[in-house]
Amino acid sequence: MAQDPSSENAARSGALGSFLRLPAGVILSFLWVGACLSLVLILPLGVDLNANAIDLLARLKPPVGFGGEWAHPLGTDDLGRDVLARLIESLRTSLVIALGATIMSAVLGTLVGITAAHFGGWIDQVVVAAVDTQVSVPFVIVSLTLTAIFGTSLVLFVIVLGLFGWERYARLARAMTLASRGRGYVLAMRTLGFPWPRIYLRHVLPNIASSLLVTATVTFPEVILLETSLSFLGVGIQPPMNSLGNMLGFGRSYLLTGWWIAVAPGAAIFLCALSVSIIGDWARSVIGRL
Amino acid sequence: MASGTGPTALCTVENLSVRLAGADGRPPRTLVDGVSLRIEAGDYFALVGESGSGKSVTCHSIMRLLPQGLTASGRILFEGRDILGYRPAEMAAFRRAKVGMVFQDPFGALNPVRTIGEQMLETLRLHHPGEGPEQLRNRAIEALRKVHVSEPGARLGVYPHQLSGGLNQRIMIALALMGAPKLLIADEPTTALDMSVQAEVLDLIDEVRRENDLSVLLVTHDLGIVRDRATKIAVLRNGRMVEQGSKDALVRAPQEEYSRALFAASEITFPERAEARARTAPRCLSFEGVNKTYFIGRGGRRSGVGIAAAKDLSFEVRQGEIVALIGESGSGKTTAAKMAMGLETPDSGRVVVHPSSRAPGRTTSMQMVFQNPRDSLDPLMRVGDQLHEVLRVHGWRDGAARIARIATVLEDVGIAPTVLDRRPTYLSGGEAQRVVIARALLLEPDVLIADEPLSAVDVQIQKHILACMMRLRERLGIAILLITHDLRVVFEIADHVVVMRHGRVIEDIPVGLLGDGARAPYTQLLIDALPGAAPARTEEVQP
Amino acid sequence: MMLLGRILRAVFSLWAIVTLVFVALRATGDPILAIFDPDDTTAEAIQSYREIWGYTGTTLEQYIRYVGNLAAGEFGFSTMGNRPAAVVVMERVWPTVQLVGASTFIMFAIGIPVGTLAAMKVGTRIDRAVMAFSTVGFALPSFVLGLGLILLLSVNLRLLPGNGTGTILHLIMPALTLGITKAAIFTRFVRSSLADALRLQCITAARARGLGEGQIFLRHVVPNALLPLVTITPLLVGAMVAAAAVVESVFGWPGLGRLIVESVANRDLAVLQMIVMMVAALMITTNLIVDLTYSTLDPRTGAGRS
Repeated sequence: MAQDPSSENAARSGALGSFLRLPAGVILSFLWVGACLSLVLILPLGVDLNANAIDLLARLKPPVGFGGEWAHPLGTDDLGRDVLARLIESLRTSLVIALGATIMSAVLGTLVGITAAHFGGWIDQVVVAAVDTQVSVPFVIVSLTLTAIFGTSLVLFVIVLGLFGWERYARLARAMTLASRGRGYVLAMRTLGFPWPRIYLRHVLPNIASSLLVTATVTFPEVILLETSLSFLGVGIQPPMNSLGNMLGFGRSYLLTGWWIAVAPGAAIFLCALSVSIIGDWARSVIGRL
Repeated sequence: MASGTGPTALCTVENLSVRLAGADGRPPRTLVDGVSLRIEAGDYFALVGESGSGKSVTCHSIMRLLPQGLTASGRILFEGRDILGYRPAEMAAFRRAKVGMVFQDPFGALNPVRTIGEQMLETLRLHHPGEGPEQLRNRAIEALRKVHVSEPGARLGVYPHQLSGGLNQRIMIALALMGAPKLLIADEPTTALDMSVQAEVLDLIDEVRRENDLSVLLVTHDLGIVRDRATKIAVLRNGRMVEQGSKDALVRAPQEEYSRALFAASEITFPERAEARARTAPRCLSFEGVNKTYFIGRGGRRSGVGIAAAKDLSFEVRQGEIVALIGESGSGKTTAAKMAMGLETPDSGRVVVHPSSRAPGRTTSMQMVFQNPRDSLDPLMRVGDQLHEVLRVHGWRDGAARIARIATVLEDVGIAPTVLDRRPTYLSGGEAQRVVIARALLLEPDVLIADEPLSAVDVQIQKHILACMMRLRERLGIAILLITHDLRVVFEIADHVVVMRHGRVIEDIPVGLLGDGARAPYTQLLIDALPGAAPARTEEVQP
Repeated sequence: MMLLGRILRAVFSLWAIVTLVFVALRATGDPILAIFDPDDTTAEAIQSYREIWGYTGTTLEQYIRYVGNLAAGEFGFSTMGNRPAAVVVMERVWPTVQLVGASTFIMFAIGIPVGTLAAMKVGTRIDRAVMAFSTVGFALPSFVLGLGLILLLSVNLRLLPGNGTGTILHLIMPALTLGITKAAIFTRFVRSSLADALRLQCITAARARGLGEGQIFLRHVVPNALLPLVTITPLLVGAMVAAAAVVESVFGWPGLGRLIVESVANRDLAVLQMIVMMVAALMITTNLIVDLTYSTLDPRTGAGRS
């Protein structure tokens, strides 16, 4: 059936229109996140970045606009490596790790929380005690300790990051599951004879998903900050892998002679954390209105 | 009806409009639209309307206590002067001396982290600067005595949460009267209280009105309480004034259709006096000597400190009957409902579920309808999907059969099939409740247990739902166990009533016997506490 | 009673952490071999180090000795500093206390007035600006801010020393870095608890009685707003201690934070575990104190129950 073309256009401009009506900060955040995602996912497939290509003849060249050339838009570092290329690779590493870690802790925490709420009794007590204990020590200290003990392997680092924030999801999932169980639709569905797995999977989970998602948007920037902090301190991502944190760490020694080496990753970290935070705040206000 | 500003007009509201500014994608709304009213000295002015009618906003405007984001326009004249033009200092003086306000939630309106005494003394200091703490304390005790608070000296040292709602409300009245105001505004002062306490608080307002030569502006959604006591009534709807006038004129002959409907819905008719008929229908459900105690505090069972939710509880529900289980909060009626459904087990005694008389070969099946309808539906799934799911879980594989059954049930309950496509958040309270009833009927239960099904809906919708239940009984022959705190509901549809208090059965009688005057004292207390039920008072409350 | 329950939970948490650290330490195999290359050192030397540092016997014996040592205040020997770990740690406590103290002062100095202003003007442009500042501050990593400050004030403007300790000038930038980043979150909390308190019905009722705005704010709004603020105190303390690790590294501030990083780099497990224990004890104690304070502040819990 032929669609009326003007109505199709109307539908398209409807979606675009409502996007453009969002606050300026939210639009910019989406654009930045979109740009990062495409740079990170698509670009390396087509272009070989050669991020680690050393060129001792082109050491410490400033970025464009400060006396540099377009061959190296963001300048080069002390070994002549292109800062922009390293930045993109570092972004990829940091974002992928942060995303993976967020998903891991969300899934783990939610499962633990729901289990505690469902079974109650001593299982619940153990979970509550575990959450209390986790909250007692700041996570940075925990990760530093584990790194000291077990060394700086990548796998361990990602696992440790994947534990960051699990207690937030656990607390939230537990509280919301308890609330649903006491009154409301869970009780009604039990009286209607629904089995527990169906109730949890098809009803409880979708309903608490939005709150968990909001927690994820708050935790994601923190994971980025945590990873970059640890890499900056030298206990996170190790070379030759590039991360925003260790780029900044190395750039620190060249603040006087090559400030762009540190500023580029610093700005990138800041913008990533900021844009995800803004999107998270906006998502929270949208959900609150539903 | 007098118009214009006469010499005795205490407070005149002229063309008041209150607008809520838009924000975050939400458009601006008008909450009150051009409302005018006139309170004369000595009036007991009742402002009546359903939820969302703007009555609360109007009375908050008179004290200029609107929350941020709301702007009021128009004129509000108090003793001839427009208070909307007052500067902050003048406003504070106005609030101190001319008007006093009592709020709906007695626990919310008193500061939970300060003692009663501290809050009273703080206000007293405003009115009697320079007096020492001893003198102020005596004044506080005197004020509490005037509102019949027992042990006033002791109460000064406690916190609001340690007292009952009724006591807190009295203390709020005492606080409001401290400045010897000319007008007392009461915003739904009894809505959050138990029925037996409501009458006491309203009587207290009458008494202070008499003794202090006070005018009263009472805001309520419950018409029953104003029929006895008010001198003037105004009806609001969706922010607009529907009609207003003297109580007599309005109650006897309301002009507007909406007011007529509102008044009619609040009428209480005592059920016909009938002989106590033997109950011959087959039994569905029996409680036999059921006991259940909830243990509170740390130690659980071992601590021995418990609340008796059921003490030797015995009653029965027979096929086709509508049995009402009535009691105040804490009476144990909700626990009884849960035990009937099998969600809780008695400590001792039996809950017997008899063989079904409608479907031989199985026991009586029961389904439950809960208090907050939208709470008992999954907010994310469409209504139709949820109904289908119930059938699917019970083995109905054939899609066409499911559709047919759902259609039948919707017709029985009396809702249009258009609800099927909607999500629960977009249903009105009444629609949601009927959907919940429909869902309960899908499995053809013999007994429908309805736990306070009317608390979350407006008066007019309540009538619809009650009518729906009666229709179900006629068409399907199901029995209904109705849990409620409201005697009016019992009068409307119940055949049999069981009065509960602290877990015990006080009364177990056919409804027709309720008006015979030979009831147990607690039952009589509930009957007398019914606003509007008492025969019309012959003496008007004189200003 | 409830107090006992809380203390028990605190003790349990502490014990859990002690045990977890022990398990983690032993899980990597023989820690001695991780430090000493068996080809380089003689077997006797390794064995004597084992005895000095208490790594002999069965795991259970080691655990009991370990817990006993901790209870006696014996934290082992620092491989880095070649002195008892307790000495190494204690000499770094004071600089961190200075830093955290100064930062907390800055956090309050910014957070309380700004948060109060935003709470009183919720929804206006001022409020939105404050929220924007808070979001930006939250997203800005402390090391980025720190390096930025160094770049600006030290390298370019040559106003402040970029490294080390000694004078109050050395304290300014680290304290600013730590204080500003924490102020961002603190402002938000102040704003939301005050805004919630301002919306309470008892505030409207107090106004209805004609009480003055100032009196209402001090005697009704603030006591109610303090309740949620008190509960987040332990979180903030922990976050500050964690952030100090990074900030001290950036500015070369000789405190506990930098000690943690150094001990991680040098695998000095004795020092590390002592710091972990101290931090955990601090957080647990703070939690306990907050719990007790909350019970006295809010009569609806604890002591005030009828």
